[in-house]
Amino acid sequence: MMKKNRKANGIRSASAKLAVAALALALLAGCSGKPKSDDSSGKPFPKLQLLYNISESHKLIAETLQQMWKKELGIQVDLANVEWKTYLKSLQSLDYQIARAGWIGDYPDPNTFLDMFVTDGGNNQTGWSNAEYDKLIKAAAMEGNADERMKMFHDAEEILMKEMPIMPIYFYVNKNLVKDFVKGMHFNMRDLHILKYVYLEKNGKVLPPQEQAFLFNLSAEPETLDPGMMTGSVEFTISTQIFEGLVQYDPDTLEPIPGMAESWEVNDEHTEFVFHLRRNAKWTNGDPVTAGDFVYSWKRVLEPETTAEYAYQLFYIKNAKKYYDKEISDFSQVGLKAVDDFTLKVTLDSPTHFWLDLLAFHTLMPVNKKCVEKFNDKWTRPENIVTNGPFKLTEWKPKSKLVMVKNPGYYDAAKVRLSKLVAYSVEDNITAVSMFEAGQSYWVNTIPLPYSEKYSNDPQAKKTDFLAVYYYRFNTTKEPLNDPRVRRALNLAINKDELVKFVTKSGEKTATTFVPHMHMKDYEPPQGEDYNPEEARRLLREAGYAVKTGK
Amino acid sequence: MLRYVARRLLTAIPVLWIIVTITFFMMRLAPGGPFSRERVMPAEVQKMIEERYHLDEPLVKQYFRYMGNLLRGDLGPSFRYKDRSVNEILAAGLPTTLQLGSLALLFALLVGIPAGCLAAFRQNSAVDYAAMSFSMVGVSVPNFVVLSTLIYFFAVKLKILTVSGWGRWDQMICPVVALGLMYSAYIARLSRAGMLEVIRQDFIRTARAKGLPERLVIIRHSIKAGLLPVVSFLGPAGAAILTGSLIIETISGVPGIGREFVNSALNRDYTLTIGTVILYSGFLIIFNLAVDIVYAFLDPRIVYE
Amino acid sequence: MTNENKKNSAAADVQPVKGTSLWKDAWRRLLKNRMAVAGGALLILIACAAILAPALTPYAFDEIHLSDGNHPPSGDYPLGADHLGRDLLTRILYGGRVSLAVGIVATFVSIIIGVSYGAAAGYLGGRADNIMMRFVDILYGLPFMFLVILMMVIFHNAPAEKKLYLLFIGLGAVQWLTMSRITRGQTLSIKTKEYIMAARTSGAGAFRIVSRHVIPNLLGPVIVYATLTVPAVMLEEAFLSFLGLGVQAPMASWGSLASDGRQSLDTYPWQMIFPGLALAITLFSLNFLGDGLRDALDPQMKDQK
Repeated sequence: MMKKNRKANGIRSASAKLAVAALALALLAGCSGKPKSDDSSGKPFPKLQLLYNISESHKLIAETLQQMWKKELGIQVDLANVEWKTYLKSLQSLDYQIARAGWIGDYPDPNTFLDMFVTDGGNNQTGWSNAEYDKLIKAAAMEGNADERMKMFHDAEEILMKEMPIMPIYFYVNKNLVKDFVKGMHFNMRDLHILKYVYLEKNGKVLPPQEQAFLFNLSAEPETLDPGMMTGSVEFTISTQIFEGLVQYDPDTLEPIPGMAESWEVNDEHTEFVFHLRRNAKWTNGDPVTAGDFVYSWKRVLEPETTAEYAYQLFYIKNAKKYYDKEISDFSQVGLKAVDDFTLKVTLDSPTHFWLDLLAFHTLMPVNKKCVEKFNDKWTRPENIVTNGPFKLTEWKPKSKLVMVKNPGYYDAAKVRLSKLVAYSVEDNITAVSMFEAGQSYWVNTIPLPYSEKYSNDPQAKKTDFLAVYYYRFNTTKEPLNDPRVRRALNLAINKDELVKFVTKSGEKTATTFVPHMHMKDYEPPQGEDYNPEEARRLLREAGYAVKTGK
Repeated sequence: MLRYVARRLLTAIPVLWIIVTITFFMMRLAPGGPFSRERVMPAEVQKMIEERYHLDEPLVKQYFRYMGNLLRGDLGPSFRYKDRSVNEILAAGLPTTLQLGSLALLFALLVGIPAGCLAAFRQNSAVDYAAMSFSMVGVSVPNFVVLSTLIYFFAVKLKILTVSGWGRWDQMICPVVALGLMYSAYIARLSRAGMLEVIRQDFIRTARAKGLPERLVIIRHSIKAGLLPVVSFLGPAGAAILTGSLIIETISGVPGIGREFVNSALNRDYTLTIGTVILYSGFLIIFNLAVDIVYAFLDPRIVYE
Repeated sequence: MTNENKKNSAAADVQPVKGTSLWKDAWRRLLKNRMAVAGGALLILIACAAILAPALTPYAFDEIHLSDGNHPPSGDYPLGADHLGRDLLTRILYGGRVSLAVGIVATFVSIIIGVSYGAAAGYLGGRADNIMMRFVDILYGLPFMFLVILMMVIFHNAPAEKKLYLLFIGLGAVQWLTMSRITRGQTLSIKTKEYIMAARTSGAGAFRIVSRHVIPNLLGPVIVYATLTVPAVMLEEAFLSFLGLGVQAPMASWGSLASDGRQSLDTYPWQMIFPGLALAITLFSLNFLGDGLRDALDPQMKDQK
């Protein structure tokens, strides 16, 4: 109605403003160029959309790929940045064309990278399916011979790279900034930090206990301090300091070493484990840590009412899944038994070679029954919490900081030199680095991109290869990406060396294959394809598309 | 007056109800849920968890369940921060946000009103331009730029302030100034405009003509009337400090609820989102009401029936 | 571009409404305000630069030169280069188009909604007015920015251009409430003027009266408020950019450039300083021009954010 009024009256300002708006829109439309095609020998390549979740580095990589594809193949790609939950939803419902992704391995074995791409695997999310691949992955899981098993993974990855439902970009690097007076930090392929080994030193002398306060940034507010309920690395960092599982990780190799269990025996089939708990391990309330505590804690995770999202980590135990699904209600049928106070017997469904590694994971850490039952959902508050790790929680200021002090009752307390941990939950990367530079924290677990050059030769910057790969997913169910030639062409057109050198800038290794093989000494990766724009164009033409380079 | 206040508070109830309803359903339109993760969990685990949180029920049923709890004052559990309820999270963060907001407003008033008055009394002079230019910085530069610059120079380079945190004065200066600067700009402009209007009015001229000293004229007559627009601005501003502090709280690591406003929505923490929205709207209503009451005291011509 | 036209249009308005010397008076008053004139001139300059961007720079806005990443200001890159070696001057010029367009179009949206709503309420008066304004009161309690964020999340799938429209509409919708209040107030006072009475007695319909007499007389305050809304919208866009919900990369706005540049304050400061300056100078000019217009057109006006 108003528009009519305006027209009727011929108000010049209104029409002038409309013109301005139209002009503005026209100008904006001009910003995005139209694809050109002068090669009549094929159909024009449709415009693609690339999905990434909001983050400065994802954006820069996406922008670089967009330009590389435009230059080498003349392909137009629209970028779409969405927030995290939308991104996850789009991937899971295959509502995308190309999407950035990353995968962190659970243990140094090709399986943790390759089994996700089996047909209908929950983490496949590409729509890709290959019967031979499925067969190989399944066979590898059953294979007892290590060499044979690795060969199967090799063949499987070869198929994956030939079909290319995913395009590996580079292998991640952990970038930690640590002050030079901090000693005993270990840097491993999973970026797990066990702070009981850390101590502070000034002028070659270990500082006295009262000055052994280690300040660091956690990068987010922990969602929970209940190890059974945790899902993320921020929470894991805290639980590693205040709890301890049956085993713990060697800080360098991440091999399982004795924790609450002093020793263990395994049967030949790798299905039955007997753990002998150390007798001097105590909860912070003075009670001994017993086999019954583990039965209680794991049973608790397996009760659906607990709503532990990682309950499935325990499904390797015999009948555990059935118990969770309420197919059986008698917990004594589950393969978990406290033989006596200090002996725990675990029976697995099938041989699980990473079972021992899993024991150090937060989901399997023990919780104190008395404490949990007394305080219910408030048991993780500093005034209530009972733990068994090298440090104990004394203060938790939400969204601000957690304070932990050395636990004098810890069985290995004599070797713990830090007397206090202060973990800030500062989310902003830049603020975190500023705190480090201003001396208000001694350790930051990431170096933001704009700082990579500043710290490229700084001894405070510790870079180690991460058991993780940065890659892109293709939605293989829709044109034009349902054609493996197109997917391979897109991969071949990317100059990953340049990308790593100029964009990510932290010494990442380019990935021509998917599995971070440098962490797996027995694994021989298949031959990957290097940057080859000529071949990329050939493949596109072969797929029936007109190729026009942007140059 | 009391009846007026009561009536205003009564009308607030439907407003809050509408807001809760809109937020409730809009949140569910957003893709993904509180438990969608990068690693897809097995379907049975997902199902169990959704059952546990009643997310498997029809939306309308969930809505009535939520409204029922809300009427009892229970905002529910947080979907993300599993160790805390929404009530607890809001109670923990609110004092900090209010402290940040009121300090910022105080700063804004201390800077804005003198600048505005000065500018008004020396209209179109160098003083006017200087005062207005200075105050304009706040509305011309995004607050994340202001805050980053303050932190960089005073905390990282000069090391006289602390980069992040809340509680000590050396942690509070940067966020308070960065947040307050914007309000000081508005306040300076409003008070300038208000004063200009008052100065032109007859009673001031009369006062001047009566030979009253200039300073007395200013204090006794103009300031009270000239600042009315500032007062009415304080209503929305008072509530805006809750949300406006999102960026400030994130960058400065202030443990308030300002950042919860957006973060909870992005995390699909449905209950926490509605909780913060109720809080915001409640504050907005109360602040606006308070402003109208103060207005009545400042300007006796206004009568509330 | 757009601001130049805007200013011209403001000037153009001066001519057609004759019969009163009000507009000429206003124009004269405006010219006397040196800061406002300077602001207007700067705006024209900035707008021209944004329009002529393709002619002013040899680069495309998304053209990367990886080996020149983070190049400091030099002959090749007058304002330096960003992380991917894109010329910052080019990015700022093109970003200006986005920022100015968002500011102007969103303001225009707010004018359309606000003026029609406010004029209708004011003209109809009585019960209708009461209900309509109560509705505005209710909306004042809504956290609009939050709803815009939710909207950007829900419509994530929209292509880049459509997302921009969403931004226009969303940010415009945030601003229309105050616009409608101002319009209503003006309409109420205009309604009682003699010439309206005259028109009514001569048999003119409501539609004709509103369009012929009421709306033209509203222009003054609306223009003034619009010049103040543009900066507010541009800052809101910067806020969304900070959250990553603004314009779609590789397109940039001043807000997104400054937000990205904030991270490089320590290492490559030009990446924050120049976009921040572009935004600041523009908003500075707009604010001064807006204040000047208010002083000139309607010294009585108050109660603006």
